[in-house]
Order: sequence, then C-alpha cells, then structure tokens
Amino acid sequence: MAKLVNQPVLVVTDGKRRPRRFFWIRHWIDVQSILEEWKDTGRWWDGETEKTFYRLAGNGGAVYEIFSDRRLNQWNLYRVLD
Amino acid sequence: MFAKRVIALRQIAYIELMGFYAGVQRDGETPVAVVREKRLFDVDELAAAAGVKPGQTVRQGRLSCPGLAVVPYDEAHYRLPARRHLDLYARHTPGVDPEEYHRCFLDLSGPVPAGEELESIVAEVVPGYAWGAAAGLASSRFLARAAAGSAGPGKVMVVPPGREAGFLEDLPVACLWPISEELRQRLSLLGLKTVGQVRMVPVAEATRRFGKEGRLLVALSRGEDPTPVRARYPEEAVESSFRLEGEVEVGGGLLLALDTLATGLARGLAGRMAGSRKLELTLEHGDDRHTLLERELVRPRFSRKSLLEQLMGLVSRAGPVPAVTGLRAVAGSLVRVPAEQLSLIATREEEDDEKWARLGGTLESLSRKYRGTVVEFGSRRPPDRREAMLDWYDPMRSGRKLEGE
Amino acid sequence: MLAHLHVHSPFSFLDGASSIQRLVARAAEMGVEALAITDHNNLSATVKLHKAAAQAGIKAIIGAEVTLEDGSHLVLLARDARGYANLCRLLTRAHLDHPRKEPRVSRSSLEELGEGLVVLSGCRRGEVAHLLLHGKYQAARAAASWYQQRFGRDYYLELGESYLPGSARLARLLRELAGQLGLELVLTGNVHYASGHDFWVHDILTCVRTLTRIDDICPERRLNAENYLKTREELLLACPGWERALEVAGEIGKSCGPVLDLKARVHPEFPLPAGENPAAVLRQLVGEGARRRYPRVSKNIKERLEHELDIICRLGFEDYFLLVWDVVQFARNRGIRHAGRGSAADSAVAYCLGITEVDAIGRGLLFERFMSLERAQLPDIDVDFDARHRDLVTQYVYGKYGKEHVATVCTYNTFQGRSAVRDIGKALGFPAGEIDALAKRLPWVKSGEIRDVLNLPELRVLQLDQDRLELLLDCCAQVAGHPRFLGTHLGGVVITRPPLVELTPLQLAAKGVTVTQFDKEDVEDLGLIKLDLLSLRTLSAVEDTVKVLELDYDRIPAQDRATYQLLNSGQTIGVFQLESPAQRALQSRLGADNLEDLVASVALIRPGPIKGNMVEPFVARRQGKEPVTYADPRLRRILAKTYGVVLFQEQVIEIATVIANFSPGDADRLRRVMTHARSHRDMGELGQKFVERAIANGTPPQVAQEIFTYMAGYASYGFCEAHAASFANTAYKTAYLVQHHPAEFFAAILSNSPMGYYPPGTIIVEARRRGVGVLRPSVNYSQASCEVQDGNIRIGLGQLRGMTRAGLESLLKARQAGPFLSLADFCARVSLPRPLYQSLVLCGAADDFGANRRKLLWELEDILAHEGPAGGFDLGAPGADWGGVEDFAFNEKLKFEYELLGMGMSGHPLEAVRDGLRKQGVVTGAELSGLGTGRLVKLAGYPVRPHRPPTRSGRITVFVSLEDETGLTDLTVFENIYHRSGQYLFTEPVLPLLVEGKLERRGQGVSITVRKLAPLVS
Repeated sequence: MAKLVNQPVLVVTDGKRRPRRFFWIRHWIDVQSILEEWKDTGRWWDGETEKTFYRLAGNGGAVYEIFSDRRLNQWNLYRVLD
Repeated sequence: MFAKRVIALRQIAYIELMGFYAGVQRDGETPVAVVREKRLFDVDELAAAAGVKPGQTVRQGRLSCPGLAVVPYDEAHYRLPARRHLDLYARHTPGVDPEEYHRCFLDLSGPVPAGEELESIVAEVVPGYAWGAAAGLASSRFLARAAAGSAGPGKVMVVPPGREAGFLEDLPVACLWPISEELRQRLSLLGLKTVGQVRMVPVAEATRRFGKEGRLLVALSRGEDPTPVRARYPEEAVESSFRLEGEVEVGGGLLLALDTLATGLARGLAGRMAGSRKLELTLEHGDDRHTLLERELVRPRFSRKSLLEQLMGLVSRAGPVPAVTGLRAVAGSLVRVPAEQLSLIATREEEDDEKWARLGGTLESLSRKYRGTVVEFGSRRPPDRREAMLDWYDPMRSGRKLEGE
Repeated sequence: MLAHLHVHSPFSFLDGASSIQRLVARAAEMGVEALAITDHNNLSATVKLHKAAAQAGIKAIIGAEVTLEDGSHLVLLARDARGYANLCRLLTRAHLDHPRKEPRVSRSSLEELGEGLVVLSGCRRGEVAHLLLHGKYQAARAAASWYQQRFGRDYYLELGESYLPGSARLARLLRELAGQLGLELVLTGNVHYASGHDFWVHDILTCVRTLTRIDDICPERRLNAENYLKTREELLLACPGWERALEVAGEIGKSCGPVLDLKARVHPEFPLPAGENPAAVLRQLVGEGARRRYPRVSKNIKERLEHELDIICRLGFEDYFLLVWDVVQFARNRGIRHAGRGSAADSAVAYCLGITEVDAIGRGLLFERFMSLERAQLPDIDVDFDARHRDLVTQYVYGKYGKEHVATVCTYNTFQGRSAVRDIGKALGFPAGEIDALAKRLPWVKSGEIRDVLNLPELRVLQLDQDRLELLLDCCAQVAGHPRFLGTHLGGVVITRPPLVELTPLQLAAKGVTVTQFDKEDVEDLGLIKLDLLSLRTLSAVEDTVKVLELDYDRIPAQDRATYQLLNSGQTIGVFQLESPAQRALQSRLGADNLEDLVASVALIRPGPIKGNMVEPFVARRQGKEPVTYADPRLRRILAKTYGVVLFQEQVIEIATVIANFSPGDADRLRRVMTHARSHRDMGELGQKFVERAIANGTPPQVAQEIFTYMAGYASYGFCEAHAASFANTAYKTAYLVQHHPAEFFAAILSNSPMGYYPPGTIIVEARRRGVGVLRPSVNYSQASCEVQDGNIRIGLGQLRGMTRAGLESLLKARQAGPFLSLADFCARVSLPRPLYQSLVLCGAADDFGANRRKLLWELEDILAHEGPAGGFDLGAPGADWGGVEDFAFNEKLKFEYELLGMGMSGHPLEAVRDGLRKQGVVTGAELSGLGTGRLVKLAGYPVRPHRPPTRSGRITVFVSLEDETGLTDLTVFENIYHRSGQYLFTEPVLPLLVEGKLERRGQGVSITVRKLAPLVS
C-alpha cells in the first residue's frame, strides 16, 4: 500500500546532501539504500522551486519517498510504500 | 363562505436608464457621450439636450454638439454604480434580471396593477443614476421591452391586459427583438413594416415561409411570450468588509485590513467549496466616493494567502487614491474546487504554529548530537499536480497497475 | 571527444526551445566536438546546423528522431552521404504515406533503407526503454535483437534521460541487456534546450503544442529541467559509472563523415536525346532565337551572346536555361500568358530564348547584374504566369522531371510579435479578452526590448497578472523567429538532377503540394536551383482581352502616339504599375514619349527615390528645365538615358567598371555591399577602395570622391533596370489596351479582380468616364465573367458576393436550354440556396423578370414556399395585387449593389444628391479641367485608397483620390488639415466627403490641395 504523506520531516544528510536517516512517527529511520533519485520542477510558474526526490529503502523494509528543496534547505516525506 | 381568490397578474417591467454610463464618466460641465464599437452608446443630459442621440457616429454627435466629450466604454467603471440601482430594484422584487448595466427586467407580478409601483421605482432611480428612464410594464418580457422602447425617455408605458394587440399594431417590425436580425431584415425587405402587418399572417403560413422562427414571430406579434424573468441579481459571490477607524492612507497601513478581508473571503469560499476567478475590492473614501478595483484571476484562488496577494496587488496597482475609511471585497465567478485541495489549505494555522515552535527546539538539539547537516522542515503544498505527473512518469506506479491486470 | 547525439532544435516544432545558433554556441563553449540535431521526423535544421557548426568549429551530425508505426521513438544518425540519402528517403516515405497525419516510419522501410545509418534505441519513448521500464525484459530483449540483426554494430542502446523516476533502474537494465546481447551503450542528453535556465520556455512551448494551459496537467510536459546541453561532468554526475558510454558517443561522432557538400552544385539535367550536348543545344536555340528577335544579327549582338553563353556554360547553367526555356515553351504552346521579371532580363540569352521580353542588348543592360563568374551565385529566373493557369505550368514541371526530382520550396511560419503573444498568452491562461487587448496594444518592439513594454501606460491600465505578463513577454522574446509550422512558398520550385528525395525529405503541405523541408535560403545554400513560377492577375486580364479581340499582343505597336497621350494625361487607371495617384501625377508631368521614360517611372515611384527627393530633379531634367551634367565625361554614356541621375543598379556596376576599372563581377559585389552597408565605417572603406582604383585609372581624386558619394547616395535604393524594363513593357501594353480597347480591358480587369490598385467600383466609374456603358448583371444575359456586349461591359454573375462555382455552373447549364422566362421558371430550373436567390434579385440580376425588385422578393418567397404567384397575405397595404408593392428607392438599390457587387449598377450615389450639391456651388471632377488654376473649388465624393507615403521631410502628407460620378480627382492633404479632419479619410465604411481646396495644375494633371474637408451631409 502506498500512502501519501507529504509532511515535513527532519533529515540527516551526508556530505553529498543525500539523506542518511530521518525522523518519522517518533522513530529514526535509517536509509539502507537509495533506489532512485529524480528531480521535479513542480509549478515553477507559481514560484515553486525544484525538488529532488529520493526513493529509499528504510531499515524497516518499507520504501519511502522523500524530497528536498535544496534552495530552501527543506525536507518532506512524500510517500510511504510498505 | 367563499375564500377570497387572489389572482396574481403576470406583470413584467423593463427599465432602461438614459445617461447612466455617461453620468458615471462625467467630469465637470462638458457634455459627455460614451462610445462603444465606434458608435455613441450613451449620452448625458447636456448632450441629449443638444440633440445627440445614442446610435449616432461620433462624427454625427460632434456635429450636433461641437463641445462633446467622447469617452470610450469602460466596463470597470460601471459595475459598482450599477449595483446601486440594481439594489434599489431588488428592494421591490427578487425577480431582477439585468440585461446590461442600464437595462433590466423586473418581475412585478402581483394581485394589484403595478403601474404605480413602477413609476415610483423610476422616480427613485432617475435623479440618482440617470437623467431619464424609459420604462414599460406588460404581461410578458417581450411586450415590456417593446413598451419601454416606444415610451421614450422619462415615460412609463403600461400595456394593460387585453390591449396588447392594439399596442403592437403600428410598431415597426424592428421592435420584435427576440426575432433574429436576419428575419427582421427579410420582413422589411418584403415590405412588412409593422407588427400589425405581421400579425395578419396565419401561423401555418408563417411557419411555412419563415421556418421555426415563423411560429415565434406570430406569437410575438400577438404579444405572447412565456419566457419568465429569472432572479439573476445579485449573483453568487462571497463578500467581506472592513471598517477602518478614521482615515488611512493607502500603503502599509492597510495590510491588516486586507488580511482580514482575505481571511473572510477564504472562509466563505471554503464553506462553499469554491474558488473565485474574479476579485473586486472597493475602497471607500468617506465622503461617499469610492474606488473600485477588480481583476479576473487567471486561475481560481481560495487560500487566504493567495487572496491576500491578489488584494495587495490590486491596491498597489490602484495608483494614487484618497485616504480610505473602509474596504469591501467581493469574490465572484465562483468555481468548484476539489475537496482535498481545500482541506489541505483550510487547516488551522494556529495549530501549525505551535507544532513548529515545538519542533524548532528539537532541531537545535539534534544538530548538536549528529554529524552532517540537519535541515529544516519543508513546506506543504497540495500534491495534486505532482501526483498526476508522477503517475505518468514513474514506471513503478504504472508498473503496479500492470501487475494488477 | 565529447559528442551530443540527441538534440532537438526549434525545428522539432514547439519541442525545442533554443535556436540552432544558441545550441551551437553553447556546445562550443563547453567543448563539445560533435553535435547532432535530431528533430522529430524532419531534417529542416540540416543546412543551418552545417553553417553554424562550421563557423564554431564543431562537427555537425545530421539525424532525426523518427516515430515508428507503433508510436515509439528511434534516433537515426546519418553516418555518411549514403546514410543521409536513405534518411531523406525514409522520412519522405513516412510523410507521404501518412498524408495529413503524424508521419510514421515503417519497419520494412527501416530494413530496406538502413544502410549508412547509426541507430540509437531512443529516449523513454523508445521501444526498448519503454519495455524495460515497464518490467518486460524479455520483450525488450527481443526488440533489441531485431535491431541488432539488421544494424549490427551500428545499433546502440541509448540512455538519454536522467533524474527521472526509474532512471536508476533503467540504467541497470540497459547495462544488463547490453551485456547479454553484446551491444554497446551510449549516453546522450535528449536535449531540448541549451541551458537549464531555458527549460521554462520549453515547458510553455509544450503547452502551446498540446493546446493546454500551463495550469493543466499534461503528460507531454517534462517533469524537470534536465533536458539541457550537459557538460561531461554533469552527464557523469547524473549517470555515475557510464564513462564508457560517453566515449562511445564520442566514437560515433568521430565515425560520422560529412553528409552534405554545401559547395556542390546540384544542377538539374535537361532531358535531351542521347548524344546531344546541352551546351550545343542551347547555342543552337539562342542562335535561332536571335534571328527571330533581331532583324539583323550584328557582330555586336553575336559577341554579347557569345560572352553570355560562355559564362553560362562555364558556370554549368546550360541545363537550367534549357529547362526554363522548356517551361516557357510549354506555356507558349498552351497559350498561357507569361512574362519574365527580375534580373534575368539583363540577359540577352534569356531574351532570345523567349524567357523575357526585354532586349538586353538594345537597352545596354549589364549581364553581370544577373550572373558573373566572380559572384558565382545561383541565378534566379522569375517568370509570371496568367494567375489562372500557373498551377498547370507547375504540374507540367512535376510531370516532366518526375516527382522524385521536383518539389516546391517550403517556407517557415515563425513566431512573431502579436501572434506569439496570442499563442503563448493562451498557454499561460490569460482570458481571451485580455490576450486580445494586449495583442492590440502591443507596440512593435524588437524582441530584446519587449520587456520595456511593461512600463507602458496603455498596458498598465489592463491590470494584467503582472508575473504572468512578464513571463509572457520573456517567452515571446525567447521564441521570436522560431518556426511554428511549415508552409508553401508562393512559386519557388526546385528541380534537381539526382533524385531530390536524396537531398531533402519531402512532405505534403496544407495545399496538397509536395514541399522540401528546406526553405528558400537553405535551398540556395544547398546549391539547388530554384525556378520562381509566379502568378500575376494582370496577365490573366491581358489574356482575356486579347482573346476576345483576337489581337496579337506581341505585335502591339511600340510607339503608339495615342497611348503616350493617354499616359501623359495622367488618367492611367487600369494601367499596370502606373495607376497609383503618385504615378498618375508623375505621368501627367513627365511627358513620357518612349519606353525609357516608363522604365524610369517604374523605378522612380518607390519609397527610396521619393524619400531621396529624386523625382523632381528627374522630371526637371527630362523636360530640359534643368541642365544635365556629368562629373566625368565617361559617365555620359552610362547615365544619358536617365538624364544624369543614377537610378539603376546596373548603372552603379557600370560606373565602377568604367571609372575604377573593376571587373563587372567585382563591381556587382561592390554594389551589393553598398546596398547592404549599414555603418559609416564600411561605407568609408568601400569609398577608399573605389577612389584609389579610380585614381589609378586616371580619374582626378576630387572627381572620384564625388562620383562615389553620388553612387553611395543612390545605391541603397537603386532598382534593377532589367526588372523595371520588364514591368514597363507590360505597363505600356496595358496602357495601349486601356486606350484602344477600354471596354474589353476593363471587363477583364473586373473579371480578374481583386487586382491592381483600385476597387471594382472605381473601375466602372472610370469605364463610364471613358464612355463605356456598364450593364447590370443578368441571369439571362450575363456569363460567369464580365464581357463586352454591344460595346458595353456586361457584369458577370461571378462578381456576385456569395456566388459559388457550382451555383454558377448549374445556372449556365440550365440556360443552355433557353432563356429563363420568369422568376418561377428560374427557380425551378436552377437550384440555389435562398440567400443567393435573394442576392440575385437585390443586385438587379433578376430585373429581366420585372423591374420592381421588392415585388420580385415577394414572388421569391412564394416560389420558395412552393406556391403559385397568386399567394400572399391579405395584408391590406402590399395587398394581393402585386402592383401595390413599392420598389426600393434609388439609394436603397445602390446600397444593395455595392454590398453584393462592390459597385453601383443603377448609378453613382452622388447622382442622387447632385442637384442639391450644385446649389451649394459644388462642381464635379470632370468640370475641374475647365476651371482656372488657383481657384478655390468645392468637390464631393468618396475617398479612394488614401495613403500616407514616406516623405523626405518626415511630415505627413496624405494622397487620396476622390471619386464622384464623373471619375477620380486627386487630393493632397497636408499635415494641418490631416490632423483636423484626417479621421474622415480612413473610416470604415467609407463616407462621402465634401472638400474645399485650391485647384492645382502640374503638367496635364489637375489636383486639389485641400483646405477644408468634412463629411458630406445630405
């Protein structure tokens, strides 16, 4: 089941600004591997900035999609697939 | 005993104001005419007195009145003044059906003849919003407008029940306004010049010769027109207003007021599950003057933030205006907005603020505990568009669908 | 070597956002060594890419991203000339086999025409990538093997996009597949714009292409801004570990050889019987022609022809001349009227071949203006044909050389100012009303300055969404000049010796013509020869006239006195090129008495000479009021025919040859540079060169400088004498027709309208003025077109607005059985839509059945209601008795006639008010000639063709003709009057005017300088 979350999350990143772990429902979830990485310019004409998405395998076996806005330095958890 | 039977007469009025547009745009003592599509559309009292008539070309107008000031038709100017006289009509009947800003059908049906009522409406309207009005009262929309047309400025023409035929007898076929221009022209090409002449045509003949319109033609020539007057005014809109204490100059001082207006509009829109594609902002200046600002929105807006942006944009583009004592905002042209978009936006912001303050502390402590960068929270935007794009672009999503097949 | 092998230019039509120049410049900047352009199903960028790349020192690779029959994409690159030819054939087939649909390349043609092609598996919409992404590995493998079997090592698996969901998986799977099949991987960028900052332009163009608005969701839109021209580092950052694939791209780039030789001359071949030599045939034809053209072929003529033939043959254009000769021959045999125009008339060979009608030798025209060894530019022969039969000529060319060798040149419709605002504004979601208001108020600005528009007050009042407006204007600036779609050039046809389909893909344009994918300039750069087959309505009118008169057009006497008298009177309405008010004014003063004067006239009334104030001095010298002087005696021979004024380009060339000893070819180059020199510095350099050489040639320095200044002043608007002479020829002959056969010629003009300078209403006023009666159209007597009956012009039924060809045919056919006896008879025999019957009655064509048009309308109503004429309503007024119906008044009738025919049959509107006007002291145009110069007169009439030509002083002067029932009178309206009452001149519909002014006479002409101008109120 995929669940659309789209909530702000706290993320710890590595030197290449890729996610290493993030905090979600009172737990820290470690990133096992990054499956995909993509970019999305969204509604640029409304002033939205480019987002970088990561599809991650978390330590609980679930797959997460989180995205960062590099310009604003913000992270969101986008979807959870378990 | 017999109950007293109340027979409601179908009474429809049509009012056409003279000089409404020219009056709005008049400035000083120069005669004014409003021009639209290269023809004079409306003239004020002075111009009319000099013999200028609507429908003339600018050239003809200037010939009869050399000092005539000609202003182009400018829709933005008329809406608000029009609302005032329409409001006045609305006090008499809910059936107010404006054709244009200066022309309106009213449903005055009731047990007593409404001639006097119409006269009092006209008397109320004329000095304030026009220099004259042509008004007609009859049993149908067609007749009411035709009656107003033959009444002439400053007159009320009542067509009493049963006298319709006599009234129409000598009117030119051009007064058969619901008929297509093409057929009206054909009739006059053929020499059928009055309604009376048209009425002589048997229905069967008229249908045979003039097709579908022939039947309507004959019905109209007998004064029959069942089209009802619909209650089209006021149109559906969300309003919000704010009174200032004292006068405030346009600028930063209005921000709070605009925010309040935007919040009010956003609540109203959320309640109707609607977005607005047209915003109007009225700045009141105390001495009964006002500035109307309005704009069509490229896309529907419904959130407080974007409404506020738009209102601020309107004010900033207003140019120099006198100090303001009150504001009124109207969000019109409502369109339906999907529920999920609204729910994401309509979350209460105070709650958010608390949560963000709480998390802010955690952030600080985390940055001390962990190496690497700890970053801030992201924003929350409705994901509708993104989801649709990803459904298309992400093979994993379409892949799932394939597996289910 | 870094090579980009998958790049879209604007010729991907709304799927490429950066111009070719920008792509190439950006590529050069980042060290790309080979750049391929792979547009969707076309090679339109080829020539432009070649030129830009050569300049930037980058290797150009030609390719296309083709769409296969299943809708998937595939990238094809031409490895060599063979591959390019095959690619052209493939695309031609894809287009022509799917007319009016998206072009599709079939697998069978891929198999057949695969030689010389490099095949990349394509982007995500390529078959292999698509299957892999959707988890169908085996199917993907099968697809890849299919290509591998056909193309072997020329087939590559492509990874074209990065940073999309699934990209990592796709990269992994492609690697796996490549390993299993032993294929090479290649890394490309699927580039749609030069830099990441430009992605928004592409996004908006995608909306324009898909007819969606920017807020809409559309799968064709790109998810991100990654489709730009990436550097090596950026490519590898996105696809770590793909260094090898990048190298492979470089290797492919290296292996692709040149496919096109821009310097090649791919001249057409004229089919000749075996063993015959085109040069010999041409020589023979020219010899025969010379004997026909010249009573005695002198040594001089022989030498000139030899000289021309020598250059023609040395440049290899003998086939081209034969080919044009053949086309003209065809037209002549079919009786299709034609006339050469343009610089080809500088050639005596063209004259002898019958291509042009100007005796280049007799007129002393310079062949080098047309063709020279030094310039070695492709010659351009333009021929006008009778407008109605031009297509027949084109068909002949197609038929003779075969579809494989002939095509029409295409044009590109490009994004420009207002149309761009409309398209892009729509995509950005502006409401239609706002776009309209914006487009209308948008002043003309250069694309770079379009942002300044934001501050204009007339735009601010619109209160547009400011952010979006900025976006709109920015986008317009970015896409200005980008092609939007492909169209057809008016008359340009290319003919080639090798199959054309190996030089350019062909496709069907909207009109059903096969067109090249290259426009005029590309075709020239490719070295293809273009033949302009133009259509000219004047020739149709001439043809109609001479046919009726059985006149030999070529034998029209050359020095007809009456014709020159007509020209000198300035009443030249209907004369080709000499009928505008300015020309008429010139003619009435010039006193032309030979063709030279007409040649000069054609060249004189142009914006350049008028602005340069050349007209007055010319007239003064012509009439001997001013002395004709020459700075150098050698100039006399060159400038004598224009009275010492430099008027023609040929003269500039000759001066340079004679004074500064330039070779004719060099002199022509000098002229071209002078014409286009924009800066003072360029001109200065040229001047120095000229003066130096002139001094070396024995000219005093002062004189040399003077001559150069003189030449420079005129070079920028000098006119090609050959072209002027061709037009003057036709002008003289049409003047002859106007003078001697006005009825026939005016009838022909009306039948071929719209043509010429004046509307039909004015033409018939002029016809009447010349004493030719004009008869109303008639269902019983009129033909389709206007014709002469008993000396009068009978208006044709084809003039009627709304008349259809089918309606006309059925009417004429029905009439063959006998005249129509009544309206009922007419309606029974000819089936037309109701409005057309009504129009026939209202324009007077049914007056045959009774003069009361309203009565006829009643009758028509009855007939169409299927009832006998006894019907009608008992209405009292227009009762059962038909005699009671009152007819339309004179003015009403005229109104209908003008509406339906564009002219007044019952008379002229002013006739009705003439009595009243007389009482006010208003005279007619015809009466002016009897009045004294300088008198104040009053005149009434309708303004015809008002215009504001450029003037030397920059002040506004309006020239307009005033039409009353007696003809046209020319008015001059100066700035002060124009500001006061100019609005009455430019109204729609046209209003009659009352004019007061001073009577002026210049030469034989009469004109009025207006002092008062007001609408006529009756």
